[in-house]
Amino acid sequence: MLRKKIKNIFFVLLASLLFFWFSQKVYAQQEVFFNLSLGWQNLIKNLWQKIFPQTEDDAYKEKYYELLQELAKLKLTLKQIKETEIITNREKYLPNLTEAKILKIDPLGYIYAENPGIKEEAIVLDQNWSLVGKVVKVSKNYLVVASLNLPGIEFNTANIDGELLGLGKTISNGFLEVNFIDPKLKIKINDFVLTYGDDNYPSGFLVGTVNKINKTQLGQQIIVKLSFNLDSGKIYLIK
Amino acid sequence: MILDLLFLIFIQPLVISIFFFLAPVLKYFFQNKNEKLILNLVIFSLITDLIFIKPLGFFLLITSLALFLISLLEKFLGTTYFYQKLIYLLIFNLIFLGLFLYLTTKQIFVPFLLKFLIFNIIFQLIYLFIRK
Repeated sequence: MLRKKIKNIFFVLLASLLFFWFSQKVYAQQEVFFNLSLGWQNLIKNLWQKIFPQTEDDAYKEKYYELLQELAKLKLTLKQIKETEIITNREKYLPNLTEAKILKIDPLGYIYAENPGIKEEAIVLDQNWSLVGKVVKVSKNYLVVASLNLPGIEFNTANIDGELLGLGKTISNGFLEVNFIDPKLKIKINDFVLTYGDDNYPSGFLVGTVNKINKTQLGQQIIVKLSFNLDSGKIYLIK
Repeated sequence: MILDLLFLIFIQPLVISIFFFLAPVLKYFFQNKNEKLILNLVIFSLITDLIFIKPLGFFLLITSLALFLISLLEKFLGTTYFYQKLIYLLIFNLIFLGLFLYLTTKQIFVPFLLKFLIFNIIFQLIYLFIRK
């Protein structure tokens, strides 16, 4: 019995190896399958939302949360807001901005969205102009975005004054870690963190805010809370 | 099988941290029902490929590899007692999730692995307990 089980599973393993290899060769066929699958998943998601719509209570809670967020924004000084607007290059990128509807969010941090005619490596932002990630794969009907929720993405970071903080590395669950920051640099909780240089991402995009500061022997380490929010169901791409 | 299929098609797209298809496959593995095991493995893993947008055969490959390794272990250890099954589930999920994470992100990220491991093992234990 056991020998038969091992033999059967081994046979499936060999067959699956062949099938996997073959399916990657015939990629065009899969595009149709996956497009149908994404459409189906989107349909189910919408169906569940219709069956269990938001209650009035939830709507009030959401409104309360939004008001709290607005209040927090108002607490920022006008100077800070102006500086953020300058650094995030709104005027430079606004004419090239395209909207896309999110189809599915992967557990690891990949986002599947409709393709509005964008090329690979395009920068992805949310409605508040925060950096979401980069397009890694473009298909005929959908595109795949590697968001900053994906662990292990490295890029240089800067503070609001454009000074280099250090190399940041995403650590999943909406956080970024920046190690070995110059101890002379003054950093406060809730300070803005932006991209620096033009390595992995163009400079000047808002990444998040400082959540935790650790003093170490080799300098400072900060944990940054990523600020992008995908609740609107839309992403914005720079052509 | 129809219930599992409906569950997979309607619930899996909403719950993305648990791989639902593993539970019925493991149930037939422990019950030594070879034909049902292979049938469920092939059909469910292909549907899961479509739900998780992976190259076709991806989940079939990593599941059959993990199953093959634990079936070799069965030569030395039985599957009668609860603690024995738990060891199988732990090893199976570690291999499966390790391969899933490595082939998807080219790295094995421990916090992700732990989160997936806990969710999946709890679901599999509940499933095996309810659908004996």
